[in-house]
Amino acid sequence: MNRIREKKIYWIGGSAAAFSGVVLVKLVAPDLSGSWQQALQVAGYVLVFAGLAIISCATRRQKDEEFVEVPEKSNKKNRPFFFRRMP
Amino acid sequence: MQNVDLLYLFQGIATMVASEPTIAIARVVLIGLGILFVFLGAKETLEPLIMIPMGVGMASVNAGVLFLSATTMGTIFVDPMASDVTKLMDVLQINFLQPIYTFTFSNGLIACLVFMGIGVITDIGYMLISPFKSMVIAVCAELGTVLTFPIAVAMGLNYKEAASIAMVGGADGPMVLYTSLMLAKDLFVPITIVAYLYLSLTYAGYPYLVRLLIPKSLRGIKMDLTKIPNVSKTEKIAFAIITNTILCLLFPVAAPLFMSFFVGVIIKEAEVTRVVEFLESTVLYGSTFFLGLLLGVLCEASTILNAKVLILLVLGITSLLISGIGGILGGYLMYFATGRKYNPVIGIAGVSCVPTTAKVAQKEAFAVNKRAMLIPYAMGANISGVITSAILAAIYVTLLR
Repeated sequence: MNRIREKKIYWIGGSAAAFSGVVLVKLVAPDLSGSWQQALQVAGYVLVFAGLAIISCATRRQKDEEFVEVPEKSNKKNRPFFFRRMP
Repeated sequence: MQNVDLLYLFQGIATMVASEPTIAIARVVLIGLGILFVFLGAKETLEPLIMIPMGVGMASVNAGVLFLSATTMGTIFVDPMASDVTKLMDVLQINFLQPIYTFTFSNGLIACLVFMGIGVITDIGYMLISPFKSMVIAVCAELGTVLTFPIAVAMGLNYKEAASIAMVGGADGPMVLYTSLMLAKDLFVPITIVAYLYLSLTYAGYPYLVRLLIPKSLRGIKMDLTKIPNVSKTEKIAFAIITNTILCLLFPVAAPLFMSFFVGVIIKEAEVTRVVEFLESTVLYGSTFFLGLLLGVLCEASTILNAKVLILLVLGITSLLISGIGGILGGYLMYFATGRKYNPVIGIAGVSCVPTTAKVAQKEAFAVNKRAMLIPYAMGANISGVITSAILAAIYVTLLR
């Protein structure tokens, strides 16, 4: 939870942007007509995806933060899921 | 004993003699095709999980046609056309696969169950390694899904059918099933069969496309694995639940698919071990098995014999091919955008056939450079591909339903 708290600006800002986009697309735009409706719909969709992009920025790490350790050789006995067969 | 009619005794053969020549020939061809699918599935040339039950179903249903009354022929497997309530109640008690078809297929439940299983074996953390690059590649890899639509319309399909076959470019079986059930119920059997047939061939076909479009020197580019962030479970859960809620709000028509995928992701990250095991094994493999079996059983000659099947076969492969090219173009885009540090082979993983295309990318890079480890980045593009495919399916269904 600490990491989320540290980067709460991204989480709150991103969620707010995305939900605002939904409000624009689903609530505001249908009540308008013509080019305003189209413009607001496009703006809404852009805002949704921008919001999600902002949230994903919260998972970025600085150089002094924690990164995944990559083993030199893979352990064949403990294969990850993507080497398994599936539909 | 002298009055025994041998044809009446062996009704599978008698119905073949009694039916129209086209249907009789189609039945023989489909029986042969079913046997071929079983053989190729067992040899692992085609995906065995789908192709073996599908082949057995296909051969059995076309062999097992009988006289239901003096004038009508049919099977006691499943009746996909039964919609009248009284008739449906009758066939539910007669056809042994009818309950599974009626209660899981025609409402899209089976697609959602497969998606839950896919969600539970998906690590969304891979997508969060480089979300922008993954998303750009995934969007490029939807090129086939977008471009096949006008091609299909030009070839004589209506908008709903065109959108359903175009979804094959998303390379996501449950998504094609869901879209065609929503938009083109009359053609959902051939469309889904075409989709699964081609999807099982991607592992064999895409490596050639990669080798054709990407020179050897670029296929071996080593990705920097020291910059992979360790994304915590809480972050993954928070990202998944927010994304799910937003996508459900935006595309309510595809909300069951989004929910199924993200519930799997969240349950896995929350480490609800027993449910993870249940979804990962029983639900995923059980629904895949019945999906294959029912698709095979639905391939009865009189049901599948449709003038549009040939068009669907051409459009299906076109869609997958264009998506593969689009994905590789996305890979090149990232290669140039990152100052030639990004391996363009990852582009093919944007085609969302989880995890097959990611494995193809890794295999092709590994064949050139034994130190080229792409899988985390390829899986990121792959998972983004699932999400973009679901968004495109939602857009098609919302606009055309």
